[in-house]
Amino acid sequence: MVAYPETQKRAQAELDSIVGRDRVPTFSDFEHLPYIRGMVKEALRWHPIDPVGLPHRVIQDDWYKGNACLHISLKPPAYLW
Amino acid sequence: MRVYISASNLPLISGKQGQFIPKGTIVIANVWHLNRNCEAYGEDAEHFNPARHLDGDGRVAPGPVDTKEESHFTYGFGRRICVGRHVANDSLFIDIAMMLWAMNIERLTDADGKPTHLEVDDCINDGLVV
Repeated sequence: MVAYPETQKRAQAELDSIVGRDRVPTFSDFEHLPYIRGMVKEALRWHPIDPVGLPHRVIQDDWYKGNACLHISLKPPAYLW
Repeated sequence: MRVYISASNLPLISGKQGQFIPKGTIVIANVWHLNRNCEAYGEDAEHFNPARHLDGDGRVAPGPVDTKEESHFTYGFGRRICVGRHVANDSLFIDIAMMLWAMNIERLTDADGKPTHLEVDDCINDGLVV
């Protein structure tokens, strides 16, 4: 918000027009607050909490961009424990 | 470095050709790289711009099917996508809405009233941040 203050202003303008000052935002406002929902997506995209995700293990021989899909398992590698 | 270290040192599977992956291989996705792919997000992929997720009418645009319409890869993908993503999305939605409804978030100012230096990529590893 401090790095991109213009996005804060736009979000607050949306909140002011949809929610106003007489009540707090609720989930019933969800459909009417697209910019806030865009902020959720963008915050997760811009600085992901876990930039490498969880390791996956291939459970059978496979090809990437070949003629078969990736079959992946959530079984964690031993070094995680 | 804590945040950016993942951006460059993972071995990549080329997207242009097939790659044999033997049984038992550990596959780690470079979510950071996927999330900042200029081909997918445009030249401003490095910047925070919520409007990129809206369509021409200001509505939330449907995200790519490959991302389960999330528009990013932070929750993973495919059958093993994060099972808590809807809780996380709803929590972030109401948290952001409440915070921006209730307050302004602004930069610190120095003794002269000028905004202090801001480094987006800095991080604080210890102590209490209020």
